[in-house]
Amino acid sequence: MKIIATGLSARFTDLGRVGHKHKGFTQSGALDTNSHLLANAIVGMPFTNPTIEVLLGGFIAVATHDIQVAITGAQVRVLINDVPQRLNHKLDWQKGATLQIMQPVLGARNYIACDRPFIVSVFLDSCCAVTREKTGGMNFDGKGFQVADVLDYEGAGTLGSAATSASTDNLSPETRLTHGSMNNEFSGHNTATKTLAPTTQLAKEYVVRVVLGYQESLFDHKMKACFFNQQFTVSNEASNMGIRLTGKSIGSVAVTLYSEGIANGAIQITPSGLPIIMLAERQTIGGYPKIGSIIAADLPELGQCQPGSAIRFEQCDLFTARQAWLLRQIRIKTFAQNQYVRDEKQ
Amino acid sequence: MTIIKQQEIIEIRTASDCCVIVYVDDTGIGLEKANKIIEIVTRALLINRPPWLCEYIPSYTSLLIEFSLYDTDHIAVNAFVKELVINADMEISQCITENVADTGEASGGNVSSPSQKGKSTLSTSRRIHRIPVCYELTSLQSDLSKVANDKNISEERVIKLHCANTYRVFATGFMPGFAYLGELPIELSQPRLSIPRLKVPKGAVAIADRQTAIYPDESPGGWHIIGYSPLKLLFSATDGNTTKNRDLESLLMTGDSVEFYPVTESEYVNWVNS
Repeated sequence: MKIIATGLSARFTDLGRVGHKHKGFTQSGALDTNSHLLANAIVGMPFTNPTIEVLLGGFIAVATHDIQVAITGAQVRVLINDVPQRLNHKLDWQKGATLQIMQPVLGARNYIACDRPFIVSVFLDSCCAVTREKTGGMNFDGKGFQVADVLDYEGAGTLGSAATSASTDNLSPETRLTHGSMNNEFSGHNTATKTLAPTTQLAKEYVVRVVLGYQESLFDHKMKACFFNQQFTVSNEASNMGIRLTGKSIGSVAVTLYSEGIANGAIQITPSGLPIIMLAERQTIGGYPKIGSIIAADLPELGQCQPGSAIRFEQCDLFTARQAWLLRQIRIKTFAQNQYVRDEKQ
Repeated sequence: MTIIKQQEIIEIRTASDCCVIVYVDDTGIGLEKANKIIEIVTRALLINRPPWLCEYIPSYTSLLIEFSLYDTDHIAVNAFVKELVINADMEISQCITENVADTGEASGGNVSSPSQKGKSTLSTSRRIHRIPVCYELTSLQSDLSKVANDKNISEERVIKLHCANTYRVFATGFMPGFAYLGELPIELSQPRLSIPRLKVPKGAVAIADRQTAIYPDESPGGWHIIGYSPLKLLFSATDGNTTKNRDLESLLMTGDSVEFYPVTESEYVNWVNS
């Protein structure tokens, strides 16, 4: 496809880099991982297949081949040659037709998956671009797509030279589905079930679950009560790196810490007593005190927060957190399998 | 003298639903030893390399361990890490009780010494880097004269002090390839700039508080620049066959030792151009 307009930012994304944080490289990857997985599931691609992450719409592209795409994530108007299209469905996108993603009504990020593997540049086993590090991305400079960029598909044989992205053509159906971090144990295969697409729940107020951790013992019960019993608002400083919240100060703990490893979803409390949620592109270490972390199952929703969205924290224990995460993965995997079976029948 | 036991200074806490963090309390033993204990635990973790291990981030006095929620849960990970620490008891106690002024070990030759056979696991992985620094480079901005002025010592003295020490990499982060080196002699210790620079040039060698570092790339920064190193801190790890698949490796890793030595401007220029 040929890029006509990128909006604020459009770029390839996947599940991020794994195993490079001790060298100082950030994790990166899709913020709303759920929508990324869903988009791939709909077009029958492995979960590790790169998708395009579009921030706040404004994306226009023209197809260079007949392909099928799926668009997931934020609630948004999608047009192909000015005809409105459905989200979370497989769409036919004919050669020469124009695909347009408008401004989202609710949510912030959309994910476009294509039924053919893109040719991507791979840095640290991931296609992600990190602007802050100037690493990764199509030209290894950390930049997203530019207007007039042409994204090529494997096997299309026009512009691509040495292709390295994972080809799926020679994989068996079973591998296609289990490719990536998904484990067979949790497949829950049931062709009779008609599963609804497990989309990321969009809202004006997001309730996210938190496990206490790190320096939580430094925060007294009053501060914790203030933390869990108020509605915070997402400020303008919200990116793939993290989200700074505004609201009533919970107070600060006077402590100097040595910088330490930051987990995905960790909640730092700044000296002004307000939280910063650390996300996929966070720096690997930092020295602010942390009260705990958002559970993995609830992180995708944060990828759909916009400045002005409301956030509430709810305390959660580690068992519930793990169950919620496993359940989320099972749902998406079951959906992918059913989708695959349906496609085979057609 | 009180005896410090590892059970009293090592603590395992929850960091998130898929991360635990190991802390070493440095109040009784000092930062250097605490960081060495972190190194011991990190190495023990990597020797065992459990299948659920996703990421590990060693830092000053902590080690963050991320596990796969598919493969295990926090209870199993906690138990595993506790066992790691118990099994490394010998090494850790040795580390706690060893002399503070243990510069001999860090400054080289430690691996070959037969008398240290018992400690070989601790020593062999230690890498020593000798890093050239041009302190007199005039083409790029420098705070060398300001630092000398503020500390009331000559520039030569600043350079001598900076080069005399063997530093330890306490942590890596902030940006890829950036290593926090310590501890800087107290004579050179200075708070950070009140207004950070928007652009610190690539290769800048800077100091702040009791730390020193080299900027692997251009970046904003609030440290005092005293020189420039021509050395590449990030290097490519790919075979060069593919243009679509790249990796970068960092030269300096947590636990490594670093020494600086001065080079002239012409040596610096030659190095950069080579």
